[in-house]
Parts: sequence; C-alpha cells; structure tokens
Amino acid sequence: MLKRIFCAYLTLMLLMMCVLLRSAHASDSPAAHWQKASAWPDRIVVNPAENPATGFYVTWRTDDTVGTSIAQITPANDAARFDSVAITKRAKVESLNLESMPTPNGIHESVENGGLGKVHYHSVGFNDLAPNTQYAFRVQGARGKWSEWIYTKTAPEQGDIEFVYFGDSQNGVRSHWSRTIRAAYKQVPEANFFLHAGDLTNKGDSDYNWAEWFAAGSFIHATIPVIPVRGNHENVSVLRNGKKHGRVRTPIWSKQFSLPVDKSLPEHLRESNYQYRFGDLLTIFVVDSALTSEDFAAQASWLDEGLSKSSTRWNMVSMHHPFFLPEKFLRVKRDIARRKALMPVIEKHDVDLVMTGHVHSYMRSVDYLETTEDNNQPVKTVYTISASGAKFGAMNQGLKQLLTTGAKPGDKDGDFGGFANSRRDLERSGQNTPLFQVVRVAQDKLTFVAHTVSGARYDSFILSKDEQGKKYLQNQPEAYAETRTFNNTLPYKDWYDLK
Amino acid sequence: MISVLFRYAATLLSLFPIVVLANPLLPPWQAPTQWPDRIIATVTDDPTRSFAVTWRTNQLVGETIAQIAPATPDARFDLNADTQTATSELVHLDHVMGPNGKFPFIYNQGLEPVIHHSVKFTDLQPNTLYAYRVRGARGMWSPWYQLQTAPAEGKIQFVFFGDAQTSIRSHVSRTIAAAYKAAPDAQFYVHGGDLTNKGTYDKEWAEWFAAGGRSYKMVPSLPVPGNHDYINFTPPEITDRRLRKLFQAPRAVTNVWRPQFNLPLSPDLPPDLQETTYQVRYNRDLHIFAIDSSGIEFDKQMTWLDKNLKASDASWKVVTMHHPLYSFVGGREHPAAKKRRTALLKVLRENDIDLVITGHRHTYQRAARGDELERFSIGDAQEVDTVFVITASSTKRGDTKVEGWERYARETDQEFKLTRYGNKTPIFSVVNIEGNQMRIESIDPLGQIYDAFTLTKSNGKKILLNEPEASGPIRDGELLGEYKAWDDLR
Repeated sequence: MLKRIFCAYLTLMLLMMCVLLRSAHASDSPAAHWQKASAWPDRIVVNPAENPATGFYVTWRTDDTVGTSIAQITPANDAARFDSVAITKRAKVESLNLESMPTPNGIHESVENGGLGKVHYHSVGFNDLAPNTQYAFRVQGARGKWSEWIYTKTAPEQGDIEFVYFGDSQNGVRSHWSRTIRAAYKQVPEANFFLHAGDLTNKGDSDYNWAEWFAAGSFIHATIPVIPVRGNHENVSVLRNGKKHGRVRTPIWSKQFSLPVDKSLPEHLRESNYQYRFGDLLTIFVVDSALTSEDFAAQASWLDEGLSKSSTRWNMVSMHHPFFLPEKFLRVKRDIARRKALMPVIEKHDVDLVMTGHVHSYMRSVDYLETTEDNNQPVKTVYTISASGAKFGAMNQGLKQLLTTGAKPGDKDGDFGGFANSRRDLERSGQNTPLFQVVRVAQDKLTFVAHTVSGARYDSFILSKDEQGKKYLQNQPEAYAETRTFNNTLPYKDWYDLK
Repeated sequence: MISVLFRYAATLLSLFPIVVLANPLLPPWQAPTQWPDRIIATVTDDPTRSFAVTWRTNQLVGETIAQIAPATPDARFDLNADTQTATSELVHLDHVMGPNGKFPFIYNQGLEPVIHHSVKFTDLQPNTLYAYRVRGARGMWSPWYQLQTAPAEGKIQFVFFGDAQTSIRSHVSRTIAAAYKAAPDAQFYVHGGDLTNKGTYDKEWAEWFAAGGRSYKMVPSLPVPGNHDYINFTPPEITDRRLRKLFQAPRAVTNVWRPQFNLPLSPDLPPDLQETTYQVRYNRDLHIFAIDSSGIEFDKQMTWLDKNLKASDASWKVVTMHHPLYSFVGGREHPAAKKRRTALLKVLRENDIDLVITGHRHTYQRAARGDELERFSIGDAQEVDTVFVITASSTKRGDTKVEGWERYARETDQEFKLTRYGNKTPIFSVVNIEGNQMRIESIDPLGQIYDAFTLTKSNGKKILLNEPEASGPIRDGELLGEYKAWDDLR
C-alpha cells in the first residue's frame, strides 16, 4: 500500500515537473541569455540631452511583463550611502513587437526576430543637472529588480571636450568589436561621449545584432553618453500594396535611443538628423545619409541653416557615407546626388571635420586652402573614414588618384559632383586594421589620434585655429609611418564565420 | 524496492525529453547557462610568462576549450589562435561534504550544480598584449578579451580592494568602475578578503562577478580569502548566536574558491592552505605574499612567509591578508587577532616588508612602523620599515577609533603609528612601483585622491613622504553624509 501511494506520488511529481519544464520551454525562445529580455533591466544606454551640459537620457529594455518602471538619480558622492538622497523619476514605457514592427511605411515583418515577440523600452530624461558633474543613476525593471548604480558625467559648459569616434562596428560585434570599444574606454575613460558613425549593426532590425552591440559595449554604453549615427544597415524594407519601400529606418532605433527631435524636419528625418552643442566650443551635426535621394534637399537646407546659426568655435559633421568614395562605389547615383547636395554646404561653412564610415577602411583626406611646403598648412575641411569592426575591404585603391587628378579616365566630367579638386589629398590610409579615433577639442586646437585596438597610434594630426578662424594642419609623426595594407599585415578572412 | 522505484522513474523520465533550463526564478546575471560566464583572469606563479582564466557554465557543458592569440592590430588577429582544453570541475551549490557528512546551504537550495572550467596559458612573452576567449557548449564563445602579461622589469601598477562583501552589485560596482577609470593600465588587482558576505552564497558571487566582471577579465586578480569567505561547519541545530560563537567547529574556505580561482600552489603548505596562502614573484622587482589569515595554522604560514622572504631578492615585498595587524575599531580585541599579531610582528621585525595591505575593518587606515615616527607631517620625510593600509570597497562600515591606535602606539613604544584614516567611505588604493620608489594613492569612488604618499629607498633607508592629499580634511564626524546600514541592500 505504502509502495503504491509512494509510486502515485512520484508519478504526480514527475508529471508536474515535466509540465513545468515544458511550459517553461514553450515560453522560452532559443535566444541566448545575453539576448533575451527579462524582468531585469538590460541594454542600458545613455544619450546626451538636448543640452549635454545639463542633462542626459537613459534608455533600457525589459520583457513585456514590466508595464511601469522608475529610475533614480543623485549627484555622485563619495559617501558609502550616497544613494540615500536619490530622487525617483517615472519612465516612459514603449512596447515594440520585434516580429512585426510598425514603420511609417507600413509593417515590417522581421524574419530575423522570429519567436521573440514583444519587448518594452523604458526611458527617462534627467534635466537641470550641473555641468561637468558626475551623477549616479539606476533603473528598475520589475519591482525590486534594479540595475547597479552607474556613474555618468554631464558635459562641461566651458573647457575642452574629448570624444571617441568609431567607424562601422557592424560585423563580429560581440566577438571582435568588443575589443575595440573596451580599448577605447581604456584609452579615454573620461571621454565626454562616444560617437558611432553608422552601421552599428549588420541587420538593423535584428534583435540578435543589437544584443551583440550591447553585449560588446555593456556598461560603457551606460557610462559614456552615446551619439549614434544611422547607417545604411540600420534599415528595413517594407512591402506595402505590392510596393517595396527600401531604406526605412529600423523601428528599434528610436525605441532604444533617446535622441533629439528637431521639429523643423519632416517626421521621418527626426531622431537621425540632429545636432548637439557643447558650450561655445563645439557643435556636432549628425546627418542621416542612409535616406533616399528625395530627402537630400531637406537635409541640405537643415544643415545649411544649422551651420549658419552655429556660433561655436568648431563645427563638425558626422554621417555614415563618405563624400569621397573609392572607385568601386563611384557609379552609385545616390552617392553622387548626396555629394552634390551636401558637399557645397560643408564647403560653404568651412566645416572643420567630417567623420564617416561605410567603406570598411581608414582614409583621411584633407582639403587644403593652399599648398605650402612646411608641415603647417592652411586647410579647409578634414574628411575621415574609419572602421572598427571585423569587416575590411581593399577599398581605397584609386582614391588618391581620384582626389588629386579628377574622375576616372573615360568618365564624363562633372558627373561626380566636383570630385576632382587639386587641393585635396589623401593623407593617410589603412586596411585590415580596426581603429578608434580620440578627438580632443580645445579653444584653438583640435587633436585627432587614430588608435589600433592594441593601443598603438596609427594616425594623428593637429588642427590649430587662429583669431580669424583660419585653420592650419600639422601631421604628427604617426601619419608618416608605414601604411598598413593587406600585403603587409596578417591574413584576412571575411567575417562570415563571426555571425 | 529501491530498484523497482528507480526503474519506474527511469521509464517515466524517458517518456519526456529532459530539458535543463536556466532556473526562471534566478536573475539572468546569476543563472548558469551553456554560455561561459563569471570569467576571471588570475595571476600565476610566473605572471611574465603566463596567466590563468576560469569560467563557469551549467552542468550540460562537459569538455570545453579556450583560445589565445597575440593581440595584433589586424582585423582577424584570431586566425592564428592556439586552442587549449580546459580542466573542468563540477561544484555542488546546495551542499558540501563537511567533516560530519553532507552540510547543506539552505540559501542555495534548488540550485543545480555548476561546472567551473579553467586554463593556464603558458609560454607567453613578457609585457605583451594577448587576446583570449573561452567557450561553453560548442559555438558558445565569450567575446575576445585583451590582457597584458607582466613586464620583466620596469613600471608596475596594481590596485588593492578591501572588503566588497555587502551590496556588491548595487554599490561596490561603482568602486570597481572608478578603479578602472583611475588606473586603466593596472596590471593586477589584489582583493583583500571578504569578497562576499557568505562565501558559499551563489547570489553573492553572482553579484561579485556582475559588479567587477567587466574588468576582471582584462586585469588578472590576486585574491585572498577573508573570514566571510569561509564555511563554518557549526551544526545548523545550534541557533543561539552566542553558542554558535563558542562552538569550535571545523572550518574550510568556501567550496567555490578553488574551482573559481586558478591560483598558484604552495607545495610546502598543507592541503587546506592551497590557493589561499601563496606567493607571486611578479617580476624582477616585486614579490607578493598572500596569507590566509582565516585559515589554519597561522604560525606555520608565518614560518613559510619568513623562509620565503629571506630567500627573495625582489626589491619590493608586499604582504596581503584579510585581517589587519592592528586596527582598533572598538570593543574587545579578539584573542585570535592578538595571536596573529604576535606571530606577524615577529616576521616583520626580522624581515624587510615594505607594505602590508589588508581589509576586515570596513574603514580606511594607513599606519606605519618605524623608529621615532611622527604621527603626521607633510613634506617632512621620515624613515619607516613597513606601511600598513586598510581599505574597504563596500557599504558596510566600521569606524576607526583613534584613541585605540594611540594606546597601541604607547604599548609598542611608538613602533606603530596611525597616519591617516577615513570613515564611511569606500576607498581603493593604487600602488605604483618604479625603480626605488613606491607611490600609493588611495582613491574614493568619485576618483578623488584621499591619501597619497611615496616610499623611496636609498642608501639602505626607506623614506616615507606624505603628499598634500594626505593632509586633507579627515572623513569622519560632521564631514560625513547620512549613513544607513546596508541591510536594505541585501
């Protein structure tokens, strides 16, 4: 009898266990723990507020069981219980169905995200903060499920600004690019922001790709404010009424970043075309170059107006696509149209630095005002292309020739939107080498250093500005070291094994 | 009967595929999976040529591997990586086999056993940047992490962390983050014991790795256990606190210590002290001794220390252990503390130890040993024998009682003096060694220097010079903000 009762009991227990396991399994997506949303906050990212000196936004993610959430903030203090005086703020919660994402052009059905369902994005803006001050914040998922206390710093209102600029992370992001961002953090842990010049991911709608980007940057994205630039890979295509709409910005973009909304722009350009002003020193214009040709005119007039109004000592533009594309890309009509629309604005306003990516290579070209013999030459604009992920291409072939002598032989003149200009030259290039660039901006001096992931300096120059605003460029010794190409570096293998 | 039941259970189970899932009740930062987590690099007995890495998975991962490659600037530096098979060890979290049989850990009930994997990368070049990654199940790799081997000679920088112990994920994380900012090029981290509050509590280790895991993969650790990292085999039936204290139960370092830290062995010491008392000859200039002050046979450890100190030709010698030599913070001194002090004092007097770094007291203290010490004098160089630093990283606080120290100074005929202290403030110390000079900066979580001094060796003398930060206002009394015990942060 006892035996039978025990057997029955055991059967019941085992059945219950199996049911529990199965139900848990059914609600479980096959995603890795570093991708899957939970009731705990993850993918925490800090973006500067409209005025980076007095505020910042924090955005984080949970599963869709967390309907309301809060965040706390307090000025960083060295006391053991600095948190006892923290203030609490309610978060804005937005839901996103990863499998079926709404876009302005209709629903994007994401094959990439099959089985992932809905997640919640939470965001909070902390304003009226003191400039150049460390703050401690934490964010909550479900009740009691807090992040750790994280320190971040507001930008200074006056004084130098230092930041890191990354080209495309895009491929091998968790595996390889994690090294690049960690090396950058190690180099300048006090940087005011990290700028990502587009193609942060390979498939902009892929939650897995974003999981990689967040796993790679981890706490760094939550410690140093992020300025993201949209690239052509941060897009989705949408089929509506039999018509395919390409180059639609991934809906994940505006959910997981909190970026400035410029109401003067058409709606679909907001949150990827914006500007940040750092005191009287620096304005950075972020231009979304991954749009269709119809949008270039609106962007050009927005940029023209912004630059006209800007009163800061230095002005920079970051966009994903470079103006000076290597031979391989020369025939893409859209690239030519973009250059024709935007280049004249850059030239008109004598923008100091243009930071781009896209071609998985390093190139720095300089637009000289006049050519002199010494290493302190008057210049207009410095154009840079960089890459920080695992994908590299032999793409700078012919660029030097194109820059200095004009379009390819046989092409009709004018087609390339003023590509040829004898004043321009390619100063430094590099292949097969992920880099990150540390840019330090002072009142009269801009220092630019490209570092390899092992910490060595690969390229460097100084731009100095005189009273009249005239700029002089001085190449630093690194700029003259041997060029890294596919021929004198380790063998390269395409990145497909790193997916 | 048993066999019938067993067969019955086996038949039933075979009807359903066994799926071992991450426990859905555990936070994602605690639950083991088939992916590697709790990855930590540790120092070896030859840091110029090697380092060790340990990581954890759930029990579904059997044999696994790790890879290493020189961290070159190339996009695909990983193509010529070397692969190495890991040593794997299953660890039960819900119990340990104690001296009287199975000893349960009630706070870990329901947690499956986990597997700790470890490798030692050897035959490396000194002062060279390497990239490594570790694997869980097939295809489940960690990212690549970069780590620099020790230089054969030249500049050394390391960070010392006192007790993490409480509110580790929530609060101590900021201390570790601040240390990485203050010393991004630090070559190793010394953890002076009480890494957790209950050394067998898996949640607290999850917190410890969540808090510092970011840098522990890139900067090797050199941990010593503290009293809280020990298991006390007092029978759970004895619930009365005073009775529990009186009961002389056998003790052992937490059962996760050795699986999760791959540390140097000490062949001359008993098995119970392996990987808790050890030495690291870091390079030509520095020799570090880790002493398990909560472990067995302190006298034997001191004999071992004495012998190895005498045999060492390193120009700088540092001892780390959990319990301080002396740190009167009130109450009656524990008899064991006095015994330890007497034994250590003997070694100190007979050897040349430059620095002793400890924790345990949840306060900041810096003291020195020497003849005719001035308690405090900025800019005035004075000769010392040994400097003692106590720090703490966490929220749990104990206050320094200066009068206790002064009494101690009188008792020892002014051989020991307290120079600087600070209460209710997490502090870590950054130690820089270059040639004949050691410079120590003690820094708070905001990155502000709270204490700084240099030790310079010349003509057989060791000169201590306080720097201006050492004379700033003392963090005590009215200078402190509101303090609240850490119990709400459990």
